[in-house]
Amino acid sequence: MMARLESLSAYAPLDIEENNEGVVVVAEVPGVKKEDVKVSLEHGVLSIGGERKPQAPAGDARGLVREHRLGKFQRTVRLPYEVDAAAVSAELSDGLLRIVLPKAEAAKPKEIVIR
Amino acid sequence: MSLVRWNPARDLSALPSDVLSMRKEFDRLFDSFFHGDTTDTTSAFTSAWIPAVDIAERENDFVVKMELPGVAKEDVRITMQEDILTIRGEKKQEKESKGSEFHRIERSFGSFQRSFTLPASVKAGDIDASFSDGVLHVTLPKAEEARPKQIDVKVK
Repeated sequence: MMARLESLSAYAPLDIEENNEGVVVVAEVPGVKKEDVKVSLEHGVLSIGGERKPQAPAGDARGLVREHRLGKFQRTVRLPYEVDAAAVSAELSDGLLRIVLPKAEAAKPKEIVIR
Repeated sequence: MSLVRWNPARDLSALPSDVLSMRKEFDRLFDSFFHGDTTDTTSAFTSAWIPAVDIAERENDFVVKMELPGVAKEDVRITMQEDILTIRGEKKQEKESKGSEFHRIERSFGSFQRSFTLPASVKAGDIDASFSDGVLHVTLPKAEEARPKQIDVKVK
């Protein structure tokens, strides 16, 4: 009923999960090489940009079906709170880009002791 | 003719019940989608994603590439029956940690299946498949009779 064709490298669908420690952003970027992805953080906005370049087989190969989207993609996410920029980490494996953004100390929930 | 005040609620109640139940189903889907409840396998969303493929033909083989980011190789099955290649599997959602909350879910999860009829017969025993960067590569060598043949014709 709601089947949709998923060639999303031009779009890079992502999930955003928040826990007490921070935010985890997971984006799908199949066929994209590590050196072709750029992740940046500026004024509380996370940017994921990159390019999916054509892979082998090229040359003498004749394309029968072409559904993969090649080319540049760009996503931006406004983060719900301040993060510890120095502790942000990103990892690319199996076509998934996983960015972990720990909350800044100031943004963590604090319990106030009543005297 | 008398004027009757329009009552939108009355119009709604006059809708046939199947339309209302469809609306309910949409509300449910909407709800489960935005609350990250993807454990409901009866939902139309979970079983309805179609991974994109590229299929190329070379002189001696076919190459099928399917985008399967985050899919484990144990969860993919490739079968060849006559000239039909079928790739099926499941994309499982990582276990969410306790006390976490999803702000956005755009990725699709669940099972998928796609079948392709290849334009020439292949050597089923020599099919090779591997994963790289979340893309499944399947190489299918053409059967001898399907390969282009070069015949030297002697000119007398």
